[in-house]
Order: sequence, then C-alpha cells, then structure tokens
Amino acid sequence: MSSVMDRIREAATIAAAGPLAGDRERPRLERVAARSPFPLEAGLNDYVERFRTELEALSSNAYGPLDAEGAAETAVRLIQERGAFRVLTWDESQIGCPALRDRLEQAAIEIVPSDVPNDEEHQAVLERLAEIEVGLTGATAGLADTGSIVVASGPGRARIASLLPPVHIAVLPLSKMYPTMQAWLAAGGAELAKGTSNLVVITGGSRTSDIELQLTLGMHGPRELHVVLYRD
Amino acid sequence: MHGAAIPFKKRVAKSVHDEALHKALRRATDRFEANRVSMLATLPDAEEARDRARAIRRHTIANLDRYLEQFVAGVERSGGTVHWAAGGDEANAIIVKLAKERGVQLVVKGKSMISEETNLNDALASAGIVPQETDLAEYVVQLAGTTPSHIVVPIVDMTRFEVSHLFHEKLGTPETDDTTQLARIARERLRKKYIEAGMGLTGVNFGVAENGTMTIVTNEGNGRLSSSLPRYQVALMGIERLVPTMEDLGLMLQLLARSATGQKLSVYTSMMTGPRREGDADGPEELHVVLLDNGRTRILASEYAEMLTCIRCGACLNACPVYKTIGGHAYGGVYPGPMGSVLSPLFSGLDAYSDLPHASSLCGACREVCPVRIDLPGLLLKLRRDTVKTGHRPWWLQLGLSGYAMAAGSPGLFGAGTRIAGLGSGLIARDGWIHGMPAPLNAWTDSRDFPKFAPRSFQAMWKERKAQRGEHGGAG
Repeated sequence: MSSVMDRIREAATIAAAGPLAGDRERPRLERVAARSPFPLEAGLNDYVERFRTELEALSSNAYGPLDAEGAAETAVRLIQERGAFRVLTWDESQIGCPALRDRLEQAAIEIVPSDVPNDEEHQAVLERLAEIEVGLTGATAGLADTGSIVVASGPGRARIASLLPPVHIAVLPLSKMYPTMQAWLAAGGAELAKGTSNLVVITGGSRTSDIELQLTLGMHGPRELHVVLYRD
Repeated sequence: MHGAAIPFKKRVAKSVHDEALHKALRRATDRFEANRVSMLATLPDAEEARDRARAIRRHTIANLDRYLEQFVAGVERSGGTVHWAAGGDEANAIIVKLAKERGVQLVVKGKSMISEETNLNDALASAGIVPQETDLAEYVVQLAGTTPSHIVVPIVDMTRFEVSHLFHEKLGTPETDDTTQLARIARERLRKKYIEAGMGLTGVNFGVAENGTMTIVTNEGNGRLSSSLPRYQVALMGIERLVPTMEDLGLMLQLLARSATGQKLSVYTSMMTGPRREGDADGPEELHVVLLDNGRTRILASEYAEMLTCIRCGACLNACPVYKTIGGHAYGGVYPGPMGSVLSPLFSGLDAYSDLPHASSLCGACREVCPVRIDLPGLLLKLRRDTVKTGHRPWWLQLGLSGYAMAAGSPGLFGAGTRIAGLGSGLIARDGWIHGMPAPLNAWTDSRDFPKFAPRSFQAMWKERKAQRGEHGGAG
C-alpha cells in the first residue's frame, strides 16, 4: 500500500501545483447545505404535505398522520387488503409504533422474524423468507423534499424486510420528519451512517425504465411502498 | 470485448445512417435532458450547487492521497478489508482469488461500469466462476453478448421486440411486446440468482472519506440486493470516487440523480459502512473494497487531472449531438460520449483511441450540462494537440492540410479550385447541403453533410468589386 500511496501523493502534489492549483484548501463557498427548498416559515405540516405529494408522484402512498392506534390499524388493513396472512418484519422493539404488535396478533397475522444466518442455512432461510408477500418496518427518518424514508439496518432490523417482499409498509413517527436529506444528515444522520453497516434512503418503489423508457414498478425490490405516519 | 479493434470510421459507418437508432437515442436523450433541466430547477440555487460540487470534487482530487488514507482507515475501522489494484487484471485476480478461497461459484453483480473497465466477467468466467449481471439492461447486454451503449441506460439502442426475441432465444420465454412482462421474466430468474450467489459485487458511486462509507445508487434495487443478500460482498471502486464528508455526499447525490435521469433522488441510495456487525439481523459477513488505479494516478499527474472529478452521471452523453448521431458503441470503449472521448484515450492510450478527441464538434453542450462543470471541450482540444504531437494526426487532416497548403500558396490554383468546387457542388448539392462526394472526399460526407460551395468565390467577387471602382479607386 505504501508505494501506491507514495505515487498518489506525488501525483496529487503535481495536480495541486498545476491544473488543480488553488483547490488544495477546502472551498469556503456559502453553505449550500443550509439552503432549503422550503420557505423560512415552513413547519411540520408543510413537510408532511410535501412528503405526501412527492410519494404520490412516485406511485407510492402516505397515510396519516394518525395516532399510534390508527397507524397500527392502517398497517393491518393494508396487509389484509393484499390477502396476506404473514409479514416479514423487525423486532417489536425496533419498529417503534407501540400498538402494532397487538393489532397484528388480533388480526391473526403471523409475524415472521427476518434474521438471516451466515452459515450453511443461509440460502434455505432466504428462499423461505422470499416467499412472504409483505414487509413491515419502522424508519429512522422521513425526508419531505424527496418523499424519502431512511431505513437503518441493525440488531432486530433486517435489511431484507424492506427489500424482498413485493409490498413494503413502513411506519414513521412525525418527530422523525426532516425537510431535506441535508437537514437529516446535519441532525445526526451523518453520525448514524458511521455506526450502521447499511443505511438506505428509499424513494418510492423499485422501478426500471431500461426497455424503451417504459416504466415498470417492482423490478427487483418492492413494487408498492406505503408509509404510515403517526404522532409520537 | 470492446470495439477499439475495429477502426472508428467503420464503427461510425454502421450507426450514422441507422434511423431507428437515431430515433431511440433522441427519444431517450431528449427525455433525460428535459427532466434534468426541470429537476435542477427544484433546487434552491442549482448554479451555486454546481459551483460547490465542482469545488468539492476538485478539492478532493487535489488531496486524493489524504482522503484515500482517511477512507481506508474508515473502511478498516468498520471491519472491511481494503485491497489495492494497479490495473484491471490485478483487480480481477484479487476478486477471483477472494471468490475461489470462499468456494464461490456464482457472483451476482449490481450495475457497475468499472467492472466493464476491468472486463471482470471474462476473468471470472475463465476461472470457472459464473458472473451474473442483475441490472435489467446489463442482464440483456450479457445475454446478447454485447456491451453497454450508454453508461446510465445501457440498452437505450434496443427495442422491446429485440429484447423479447433475445429472451425467447436464450431463455425460451414466449415473445411479448409488454415491457412489464419482460421485466418480470428477468425478475424471476434473477431473484433466484441473488439467493444462490455466494458473492455480490457492486461498483461505488461515492466513498465518504470521513466515515469509510460507500454509497451505491440504483432504481431497480440491484445494488441493494447484491450488497445485502450474499455472504460475501466486494465493492470495486476507482480511487478517485471520493467526497470528504457526509454533508458533501448529500450535495453530490442531489446533483447526480438530477443530472443522470432527472430524478430528485434515485429510488435506493445505500450507504454501507463495513460488513454486518455483531448482532445485526442480516447482511454480508465480509466486505472487501478493491481500490482500482488503472491509469488514474497517471491522469492525476497530468494536465488532464480535472477529468477525475467526473461523477459518471451521463448528462454529457445526453447533450452531445455527436453521441445522438453515432450512439455509444461507435466510441469503442467502455465510456462513450464526450466523457468517454476524454477517458478512453487517457486510460488506454492514443494508439487505440486517436479518433475520439476528433469525434466532437466542440459545441460546448457537454460543458454546459456537466454538474461539476468539467471543461470537456478544452480537454478534447488538448488531446487533439497530443494526437498531432505523437504522430496520430488523422490522415484526412493531413491530406486536407497539405492540399490546402499547396492550393493556398498559389492564387491561380486556389481560384481554379474554388471555381471547380462551386460548379461541382452546385451539381450534387440538395437543399444547400452536399450529402455525398466522390472518394477521397467521401471520408467527410459519409458521416456528415458539407455545405454547398458559394456559386461565386470571394476571389471572383473581389475582382469584380475592384473593377467596378476602377483599378486604383479609393481604399474600398
């Protein structure tokens, strides 16, 4: 490595003295990051409405804001409307929405844990979990300007719950709604990324336009994305 | 694999009269260009954002050694392993070795142009390991045995009927004109591959130096699945693909999606920091990052260092009138369009790509749309100068210049020439343009039109004017 780095160091010195002269110092431009696409007086309601508009433009849906009970009911209704009897989901403690577990049990919806071992069982477990119709997760943040949710992996928070099933339902507390990605990064998102092996910003359902620019939803990931907002 | 073995003129000759290709290219590039403009307009100040993105990328490249050290430390701190590869073959050998040591027989791949650059698929296949492309377009390219013709939409040149026919032939599926059905055919087959694969390989859109975080952006989810399902994850990354901080990443992501496809953000932006951690529910148990030089350090030490700030969005392809006329395959290399005309000769040498710097009208559209404002026309001009310096002056330029020098040195010959040209071109031109000329002048008109010569030359008009005013009449 040292010889490679020596060569790169030498080359960077040449560049900084030539075509990139003046670029060694970190640029001190005005902080574009601080610029918001929202007016100064915008508040949570504006963020929620933008979030909804953006999601709908991506053929996805936002519900609420509801209370925790209402959110749990909505999630269960969405599962039932799709004729599903089980969900691939996170640990109860990781989803957030407190009423959810009871509602799922009342509706006799089987809760399938989404842990995947890295041993000889790996493939068999994935095969089994890939059959499940609906994934149910929490979310770490909502980004209003783009209609995105941020989903962080970790203990009790499998990546596959938001990835393998054709339908993904996420419950998002209002307190986690940010105007933009930049605002979320500044408010702890950047630090969270360091401590998380996989953090994904999800903006709508999986899609492709590779053939003749014709849109198809659900290429590899979920074709449906539903975000249920609740007041916490 | 790529087409540099076939002369540029031959590659262009195939595409330049292909009306269906032009229609497909124009439809795609017009749509992307319009979306790019309207989505940039949703930023509070797009021009300022581009200025800042440019400054950040130039700053990163000017300090590449420092940021690479920081990035490597971050990857290792989070449990990942870093490998260095001086060239493509070395990178492939590292990946093949990793796969073999772990008993991997199938590698699923997210969309990655850099693995095209190293020709990884062939290296894996000859080691007895199956490489599986999973991006829909790359899957089609792999089945067809061709190469991508656009860095963002690799099969921009293919119709649904061609894809349907290909699937029918290779997969035995019934013919269909339904693109959703075609996507479903691919989804079903590739879902199985994701689950079976022992290793997932992706490129990297941005590495974040302060964290050792790697970001992959896809719309289909092929980057997420390739990096989340298999037990072993490999990321193949050019050494220049860094930004210093997560805040910088946020800015670059806003510009990348807008410039590439005209989206505010792509569907999936994965930020990966190390492999699965203690207690994590899922994810790969090992993460390997292969840092590829492959000529980048050489570019860094040259007057072309600015080219390393490129973020591979493809906006310059969509804006380029030459790209829209000849298509991606005509460029011969992995990277087409204006960015490819600069990168291919820099990566692979002027011997193979001396025509590319000339494959531009220098209209400047590429520089206008580039999110980091790379002076692509300026770099192309420098490369043209280099082609002449190193004896790669194109024969037509040589012929034309010596012909011109001979004629211009003798007013009589020059005058005769322009009279003949004026007469001759009047006979073969239509609508003021000449669409075909006899050899050797057809070297121009086979791929371009030439304006009709004026019926009367400047010399003739000058003589008349002088005659009207008298031989010694006034200053004119």
